[in-house]
Amino acid sequence: MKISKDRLELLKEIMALDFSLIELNLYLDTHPEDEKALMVFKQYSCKSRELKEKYENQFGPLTASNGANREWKWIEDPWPWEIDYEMGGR
Amino acid sequence: MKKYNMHVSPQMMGPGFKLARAYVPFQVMDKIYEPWKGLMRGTIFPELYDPYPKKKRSEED
Repeated sequence: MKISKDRLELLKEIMALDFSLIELNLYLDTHPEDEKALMVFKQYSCKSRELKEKYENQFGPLTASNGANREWKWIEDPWPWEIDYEMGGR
Repeated sequence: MKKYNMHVSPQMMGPGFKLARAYVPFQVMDKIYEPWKGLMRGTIFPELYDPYPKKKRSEED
């Protein structure tokens, strides 16, 4: 399923950031004092929140819980497995 | 019980082979991959990226 190029780029950036956050989370669980890791984690989580907000304002909810204040648009969007990630992907 | 006796005993492998020693050196974060590269490689820590088969690091994404 095709989605617009800028929507796909934004989605990919969010996916990549959230992956890094999971990695940093796992690292921080065993290295809670690592200042550098904590700094990068805070930086990425701010950016991820920002991008998600931007995405949701433009394209609709990423998660069902974020779709609650609008009409139930959640089911209209393409499911993650329906998206063609390679279309002009990086 | 023959069919279960297929392991190679240390004697057969010679004295140099000891039983395994498991260890995990304590990781210290240094450089990390950019988010997209990390997602493609499955880790953001270069020291943990170890694909099979041995590919030259520079060539793949």
